[in-house]
Amino acid sequence: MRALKAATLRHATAMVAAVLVCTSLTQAQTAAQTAQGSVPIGAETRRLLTLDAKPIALGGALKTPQYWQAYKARFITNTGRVIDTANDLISHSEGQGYAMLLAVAANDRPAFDRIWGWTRANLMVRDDQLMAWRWSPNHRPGVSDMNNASDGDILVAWALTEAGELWADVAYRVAARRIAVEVGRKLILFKTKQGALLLPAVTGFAAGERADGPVLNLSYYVFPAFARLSLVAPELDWNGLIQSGLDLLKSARFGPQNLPTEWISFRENEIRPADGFPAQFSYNSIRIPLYMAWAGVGEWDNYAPFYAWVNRKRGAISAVEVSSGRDTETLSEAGYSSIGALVMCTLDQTAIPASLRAPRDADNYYPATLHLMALLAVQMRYGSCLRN
Amino acid sequence: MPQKLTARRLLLSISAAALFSAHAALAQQGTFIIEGMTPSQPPARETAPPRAAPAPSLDRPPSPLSALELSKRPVSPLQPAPAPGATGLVLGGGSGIGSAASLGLQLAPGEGPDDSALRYYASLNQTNRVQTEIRRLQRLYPGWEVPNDLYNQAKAGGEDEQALWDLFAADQLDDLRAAIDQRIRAEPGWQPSAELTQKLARKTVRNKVMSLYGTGKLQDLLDYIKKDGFNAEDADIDVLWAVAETFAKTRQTQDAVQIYKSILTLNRESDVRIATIQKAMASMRMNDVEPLIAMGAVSADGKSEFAAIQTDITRARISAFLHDERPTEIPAPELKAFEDYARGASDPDQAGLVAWYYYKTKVFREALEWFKLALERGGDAMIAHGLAHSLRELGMYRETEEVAYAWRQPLINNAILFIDILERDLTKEIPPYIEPERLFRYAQVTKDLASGEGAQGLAWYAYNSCQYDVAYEWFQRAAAWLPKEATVYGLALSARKAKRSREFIELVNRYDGLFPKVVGLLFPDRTVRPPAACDLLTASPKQRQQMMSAYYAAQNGYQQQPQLPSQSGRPANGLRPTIGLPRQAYGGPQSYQQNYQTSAPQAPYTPWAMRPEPMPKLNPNEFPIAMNPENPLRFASTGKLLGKPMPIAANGTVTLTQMAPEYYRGPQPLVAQRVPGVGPMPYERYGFTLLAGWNGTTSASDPHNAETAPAGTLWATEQAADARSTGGVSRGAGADAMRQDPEAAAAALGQLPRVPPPNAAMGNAMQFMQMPAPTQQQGPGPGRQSRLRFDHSPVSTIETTSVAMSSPNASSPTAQTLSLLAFLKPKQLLDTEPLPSAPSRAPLAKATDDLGREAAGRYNDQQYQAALDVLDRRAETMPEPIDLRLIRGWALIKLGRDGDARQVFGSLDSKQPLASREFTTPAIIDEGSP
Repeated sequence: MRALKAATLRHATAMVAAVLVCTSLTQAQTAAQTAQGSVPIGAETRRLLTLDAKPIALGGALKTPQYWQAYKARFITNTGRVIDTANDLISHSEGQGYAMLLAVAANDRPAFDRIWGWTRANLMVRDDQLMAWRWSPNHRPGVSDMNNASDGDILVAWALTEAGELWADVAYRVAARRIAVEVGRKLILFKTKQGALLLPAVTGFAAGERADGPVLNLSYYVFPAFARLSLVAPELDWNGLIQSGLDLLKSARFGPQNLPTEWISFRENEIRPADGFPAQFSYNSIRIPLYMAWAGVGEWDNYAPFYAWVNRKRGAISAVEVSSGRDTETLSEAGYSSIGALVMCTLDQTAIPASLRAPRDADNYYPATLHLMALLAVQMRYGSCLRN
Repeated sequence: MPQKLTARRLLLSISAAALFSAHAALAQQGTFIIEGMTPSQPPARETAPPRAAPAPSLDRPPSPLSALELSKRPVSPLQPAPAPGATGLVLGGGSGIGSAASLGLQLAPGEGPDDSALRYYASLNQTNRVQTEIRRLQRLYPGWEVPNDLYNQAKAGGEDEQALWDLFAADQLDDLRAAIDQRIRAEPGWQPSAELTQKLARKTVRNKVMSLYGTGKLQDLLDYIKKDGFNAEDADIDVLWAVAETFAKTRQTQDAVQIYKSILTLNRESDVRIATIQKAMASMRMNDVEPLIAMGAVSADGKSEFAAIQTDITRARISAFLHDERPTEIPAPELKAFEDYARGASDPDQAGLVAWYYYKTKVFREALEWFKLALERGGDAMIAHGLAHSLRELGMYRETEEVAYAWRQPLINNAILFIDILERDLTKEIPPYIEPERLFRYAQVTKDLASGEGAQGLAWYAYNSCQYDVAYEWFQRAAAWLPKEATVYGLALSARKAKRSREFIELVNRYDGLFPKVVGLLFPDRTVRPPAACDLLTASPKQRQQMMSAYYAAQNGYQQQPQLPSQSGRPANGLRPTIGLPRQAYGGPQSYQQNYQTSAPQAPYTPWAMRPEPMPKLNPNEFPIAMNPENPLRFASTGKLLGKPMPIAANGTVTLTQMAPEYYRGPQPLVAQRVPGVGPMPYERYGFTLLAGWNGTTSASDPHNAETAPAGTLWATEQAADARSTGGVSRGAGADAMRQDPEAAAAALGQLPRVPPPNAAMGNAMQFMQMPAPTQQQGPGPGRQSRLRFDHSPVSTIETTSVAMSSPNASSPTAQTLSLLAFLKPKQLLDTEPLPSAPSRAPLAKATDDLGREAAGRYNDQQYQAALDVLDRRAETMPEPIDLRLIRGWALIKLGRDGDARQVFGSLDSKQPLASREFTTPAIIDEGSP
């Protein structure tokens, strides 16, 4: 089961009360400190990558619409709600955003309108342009947290931007701009020594709210979105955000595997696993290589730890306790493995295995979503990996 | 305030334009003839690569000292020969060249001058430089003669190298290396000449660097030069520029700066130096370029050697300022020079740049003028956007609305501004008169954009002018598109007023636990409110009298009581009126009653708290009832296309295909759970509480603290600025007076136009139309719109607008906008007025308040901006007396903001202080009476 991705998106005080405590933080910190020097990254020699970061329109990019139809019939209700089947059937802004992206990619405007209609009618309950991140069908009220999740907001804004491009509808563009500008206004710290930092949420992660704040989640850096959001909010330095994200990734390496933890403290240039969270590379972080590859950004140094992570068990995906480098859990559903296949495709031009070229019916919402997005990324940028 | 950010888009494009200009300027200089590039003595062994930029010398002249060092150094084959002076990148402040002219130095007997540089040039066959060096040495050492063997050394290696040189000249370096290897093997002891070795090594490096640079492989380039021990001193100017740019683009700024500095140190050619500055501006932030500019020589008359590109420099400085990369404003003379240039330039972006500069420095009147000029020059929708924002900052909201509307199609920023600027008036508690045509077109754009902001604006306007059915329809759309608390609250109010009790009940139950204000409609507090103007409007004279009498009686009774909880249900002082009550989840109306009847407060802190409010009677069929939590409202936009759909869109899905059923079928709970970020529910006053939240939280959030702006965000900066500014929402002209007199308010409301229902706003949005003179236009009251008047605009802007918009010639957005701004007189008139001189110390302020004294103190401490900030803060709450206004004007003069100062001194007789800034999102409107 996927640990609830945003389970830690709660107020800082609540987080302290939570039972999630890093068992060996000291080790992780030590590893972090050494990681900031010259880092031996895996056994692989440094390579020169020739990735192409040219922004690509998402509209109509999905070449296998039958996968989308199956996904839609399983995970999206008639009213446009995206169901997290592994998490008590809840919905979240992130899932709505993924589904909107896939609908644009599948050129499915009726479905897109359903999903966006549900999203705004049910999650845009805050007094700003951001979304409440969590919604539950069996509670009163449906919204169960007023805080936002930055990646959900970014995904929705990106999907609306792509919809505005594909269908040339001004209403989508206006909505995209309002969200994107609000993200830039409320969630990005543009003038830090480390470059632009993206807060995971409005509440609970900033310097004034946690002793180790600001705390970041690098998997919230949706790299392929940033290059496209400049279409609707060009005044914001999205490229700077991409660059700072890549830079942070080079610094945020802990333990023997040099992997980032899910939640990282960036307080005053000391980069270390954030307090009160399991110091793991897990369900959140596995999206980092997905987003980099999908955007065509990053150098070898950015990918090296993920490459080693994938290669270590020949494509089998695990969550890792960073301090020890030990696996804590095998992520067995096929959708997770698709991330590994994408990494190998991106770096080695390895063909996507036949078993991973279509999503599996047995997968839950999250791995199924990752799978579709990984395939979409391959179709958009690494088509040669799909040739036999 | 998303609008606050919008200005930056142009800034980026302007920045890009600045860079483009720099490149264009470079391209124009491509015809320069550079010393050292003339063909050398035969054979023509250097092949000049194609270049777009000025092609300067391939070798910089060595200083005599460094040339001496060269002579001591062994030159290893196949390594780039260390050039004279290769002791590091920075060789000092450019004093090495030509600084010893005509010194007439004496040589000791037997001693010769240092001719190593001369021999170096000769070895390279650089005859021009040889001649220059000869002249230099002859000036230094009169009588010295050119050595006879000058070129002999260069020829070492023999005439039989010609075939190798041919390969070199043909750029066949691989073949050349192979030929050398072959000959070494064939002729043991043979070595290529030092010149050939040196030039081969240099050209190899050069080709590799330029190839990687040309293909954009910057990281590879860096790796190469690090690995191969790149010697910057031995590189030609193209390579140096390429490497510097590579460093800059890979954010190794200090390395880039060092290379640029070395070029400026070692090169005297004017065009190379200028091009270096231009290249540096194109690849680095201006802060990093400024030290390079400072290296420029200044002539006796004070003219910089970079004067030829001063416009580019100022442009880059302005751009840096706009991007917050430069903290200080542009010096007035420099800005003036750029203004002169921009005024004469046909390119609208130049005037636009000046406009954005003034906008950024909050000199909005100047900004407006420059935006207008840019528009006249063909400026685009972003220029119009800046113009609209300048109007807004000047309090000319009506004109802002027109400009934003005219430019809404090309740029969504303008569409958003159009929605937001009128929303401000629409949501006023006492709505101002808005012409039906304006309401109609606003409704149309709202539907086109599916704008929740616009829909709730129209809804509130309708609601506050007693049009409940129309309000309900617009609130439905607003709640589908942006269901924030104020909107759902409005929907619930209008549903109740429109007798849609089922919808009302559903709303209260659906948002139980999330929106205290909505739930509060079933749990009213005891605040005494005047009768709603709309109720008075429809009442008979007798009923009206009764209503007013009852209100006054209740008000008197209220005033005799101690303080009651505030309207929001949050008790003052943090005290809970239900202290001592067992807190439990409610299970229905019965438990409410039981709880109330059986629980007596035990430890009251204040007398009022001893008597809990009477529990309102609830209908068990109304609250709480099980409710599907999903908001079912959906409305499509009538979205107009903006541009063309992508071609692939035509192949898309057109009908809805299968989707999943809702997995969760119930049951739905009756008890709400805590939502982090939400304050207490009104019924908690009676001792009830909620279930724990999803994350275990059991207590209500303090909604006032829940959303503190995270440190470091723009939002936090805005909040700080807002705290210094108005800090609230303009209630509209005369609103306070109207609230004191409900009957007058009712009479005014009766005159307001009908809001078009959503279905009426169909078809194409209406274009500009003539506005009838408003019958109930509220006079200029204390609203901020009226605070700033243009000195040369005797007529009110509204009247001007009306005339301008009826102009038959106003067709294009540009024509419409310029027609609208016809009242703006040329600024030159203002400029002719002399400004008073600002004293170094302000006379003792007459103001007795702290802020007034603080402002004077700041002025006397020469903290002029701080003085202005204090004055702004003070002006939010009290009028500004003339002595403080003088301080304001003097501070502006001290800051070089003459335009602003003129406005201050020109309005000393005005009763209002100058508006500084105001544009806040509309507040939640409190209902007059539930």
